[in-house]
Amino acid sequence: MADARGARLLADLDNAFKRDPDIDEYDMLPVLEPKHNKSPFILQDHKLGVEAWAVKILVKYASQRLKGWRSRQAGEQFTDPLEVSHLSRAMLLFNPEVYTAWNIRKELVESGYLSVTEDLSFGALILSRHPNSSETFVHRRWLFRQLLDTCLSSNSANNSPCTATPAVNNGHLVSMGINGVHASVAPSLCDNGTLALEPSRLLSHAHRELRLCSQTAEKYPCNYHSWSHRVWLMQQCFSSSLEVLVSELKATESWVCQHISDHSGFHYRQFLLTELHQRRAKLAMTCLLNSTELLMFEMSLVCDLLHSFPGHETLWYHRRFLFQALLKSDWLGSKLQKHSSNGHVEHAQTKDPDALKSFYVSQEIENVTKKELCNSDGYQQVLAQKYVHWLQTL
Amino acid sequence: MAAPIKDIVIPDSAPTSLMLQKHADYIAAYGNRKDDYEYIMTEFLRMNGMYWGLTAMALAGQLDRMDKSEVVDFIHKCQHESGGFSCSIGHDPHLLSTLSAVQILTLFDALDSVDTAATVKWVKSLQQPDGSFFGDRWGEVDSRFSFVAVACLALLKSLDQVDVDKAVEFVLSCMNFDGAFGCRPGSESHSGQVYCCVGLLSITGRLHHVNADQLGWWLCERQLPSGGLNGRPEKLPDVCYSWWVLSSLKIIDRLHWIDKEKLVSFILACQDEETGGFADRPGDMVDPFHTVFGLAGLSLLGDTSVQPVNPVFCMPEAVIRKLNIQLQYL
Amino acid sequence: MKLYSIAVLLKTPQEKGKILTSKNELSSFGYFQRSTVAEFMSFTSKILVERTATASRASVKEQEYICHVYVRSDNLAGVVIADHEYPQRVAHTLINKILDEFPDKCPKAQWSSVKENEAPFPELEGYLQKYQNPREADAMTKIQSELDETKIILHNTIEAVLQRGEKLDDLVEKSEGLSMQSKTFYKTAKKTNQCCAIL
Repeated sequence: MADARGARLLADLDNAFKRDPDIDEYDMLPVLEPKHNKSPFILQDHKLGVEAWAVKILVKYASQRLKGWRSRQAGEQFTDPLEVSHLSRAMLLFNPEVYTAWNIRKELVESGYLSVTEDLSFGALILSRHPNSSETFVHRRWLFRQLLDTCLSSNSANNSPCTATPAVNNGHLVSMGINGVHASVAPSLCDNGTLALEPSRLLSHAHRELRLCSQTAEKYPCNYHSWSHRVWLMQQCFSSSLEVLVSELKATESWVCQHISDHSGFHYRQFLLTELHQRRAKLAMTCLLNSTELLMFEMSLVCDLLHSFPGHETLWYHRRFLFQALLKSDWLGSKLQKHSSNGHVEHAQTKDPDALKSFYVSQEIENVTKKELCNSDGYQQVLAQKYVHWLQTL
Repeated sequence: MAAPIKDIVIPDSAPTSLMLQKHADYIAAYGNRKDDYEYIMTEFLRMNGMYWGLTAMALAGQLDRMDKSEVVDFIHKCQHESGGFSCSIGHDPHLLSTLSAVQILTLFDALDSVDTAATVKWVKSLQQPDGSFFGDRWGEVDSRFSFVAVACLALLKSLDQVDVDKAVEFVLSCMNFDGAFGCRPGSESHSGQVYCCVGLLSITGRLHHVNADQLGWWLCERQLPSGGLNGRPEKLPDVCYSWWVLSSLKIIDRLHWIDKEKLVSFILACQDEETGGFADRPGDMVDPFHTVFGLAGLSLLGDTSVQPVNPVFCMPEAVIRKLNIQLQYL
Repeated sequence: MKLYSIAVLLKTPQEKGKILTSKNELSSFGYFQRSTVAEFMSFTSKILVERTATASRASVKEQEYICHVYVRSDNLAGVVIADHEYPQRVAHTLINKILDEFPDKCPKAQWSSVKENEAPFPELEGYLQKYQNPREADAMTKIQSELDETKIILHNTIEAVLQRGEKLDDLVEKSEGLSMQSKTFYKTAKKTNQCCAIL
């Protein structure tokens, strides 16, 4: 009985996706009992709604069928990959942490029954309802590794040099990504006569993935999985290209200003600034940007936000990061020069970087004491106090 | 009055004393609802769930109420040819469920009922040249997996099977400027990841790499005015962080830096007087996950009605002592 | 930070909250949830106006939301529903501004006769959009210093605002403004906490 209903609901779900292949959102509707003669599926404006009672039957059915098939129990003989794909879809729509169902889809991709592109869209649909689903992001990284591997092999087939991080390690490829992949990639002929379109395909997927990360970050505050996925994309798919790092820094600035308690978003900027600072020589040459100035600009941004939005730990933590990054940068050195020419600093301090460091730490403590400790109340004052304590440990 | 602090207020009606027997009863009855939709929805966590429940029972001193042979039989069925364990029958093996399986078998002194040599071989096969570990054959990397692999091998007395130096090196590459750790190099600090990384460094005897004052300070700042701990800045407090944060503080000898009394009253307030069990926050639904970490947290905070817990393995201290596993504490 | 809803209400002589006009920004909610969310925004706005004393201000936390309410001495009231990041001062300044302007568009004589949520005030939509970014909007308001933030009463839940013996569950059940679907949603949305299964 339950099986027959489950099978029928699964067929209905598949029909919904057939009727509208562009479903971009779905949800469970709070309808706990079936109503006579009414379908539990609603399709409106590319949005799919499924009544709660039907979800329960569907998930139970899909779970039993998939488990039976996975453990090769007697009586579970179906080998139809399409059915397996549909069962895993039904399961994951409402329970996206079932990693085994994702693994089943990986096997379907490997054997060519599902395409990487198809499965990326499916995952994006899941993230519309479960924006912090860890296993969905895990699966996407696997799909991207497939794209990277294809890139690597198409590159080696093309006899072009390959470095440790495959395919996109060379700067020009990535900068093409910024300028618009389709316009600037000139397809080249591989040995076997096929076109080497893989790198451009990877880059256009990766750029779309950055936009998806913005959406999931917007839907779920402090979305650890979304932001660490974004870090991974930068490292693996863009090979931390300077151009993309800079464009990400620009793209997330207004975002953090509108999400002043989202530490994950601010941490992402810390990641970007750290990467840029590590390659400051090249940054100055190719992008004409000074990494210390970027840090200083960020410091004035966060101080401004601290003033507008008092009482947010996130902003104070960001300030900590920036202050220690500035202490380690050539900021001290430049200050040193400036001060010695102005004669502001005692002679002994200009000679001794440690003394200069403690000079700036005490100056920062004085700043905070004057501004935030004396002129604010409540939690802002508590946080300022903690910042001062932290400065004293430097 | 600036922005309101992201925190909760403990209701006056919240419990203030430990209802240990109710929790044991709650856990003992948990597995009786195998047909529930909720039970199906959490199957991907079954092995972890059993570990949480059984450890909670052990900490309550009532492990003998549980059906050992049923559990061991289930775990046996979850072992795959590769040597790894899955979360449940009909699912795929993963490091996370493998550690839980090994922990449960250790708890029951029943490691000989599975092929541990195959498990060791499988865990070893997941280590990568950079020292990190895949979670399974599909290649995801996370500092949690490093801890899980090393903890698993330590329990199986086979730590020498992997490249410990490299494993440590990878974990250290996940350290941030604040002294805390993220899931991968460049990722945000997170208390759960801190526990994993500090735990790994304790098992491998490399805690000197940690800046204990800096990390301890970051961990202590997880405590909110309600007394509860969160996992990251400006997140709500949650009982499970009473474990991730507290055990890390214990390992690096900074437990005395937090307000113990306030934390105890937060944890106690998360109990459900009617059903038994702990929730993430007062008034929410209880589950075995928050129940074990509530009890383990209270144990670290010195509640003597709960069995002493080992801060690295989250298992009864007596069990770890018996195994004579060397752990480093600062 | 997000501003979800602005409403202008009248606190009637019977101590009922009547919505004169309101606007919502619900694009961050799921397509199928928007109508339910809108119903709950109106429901909450009314409850708060009914239980806030005339000539007083309050800010009430409810899960991820904060509801800011001000009932003027002439019983015209404003409710702004925002998230935790949205500065309280700006929210209350916005309420002041809107309540100042509203009588110009809809004179006091019409307040009791106008149909629910049909008072003319087309500017409201613009305010809802502009104030999404409080830093830009705030600079334009010159009246921010008039606000004495210490006089705003802070409540930690809606329950805390209710009168003795009242239960939120009962109010939801009895409400005429909430559809069956919304009531079911409320009942089933008892928080499940699967947030942090790290191991």
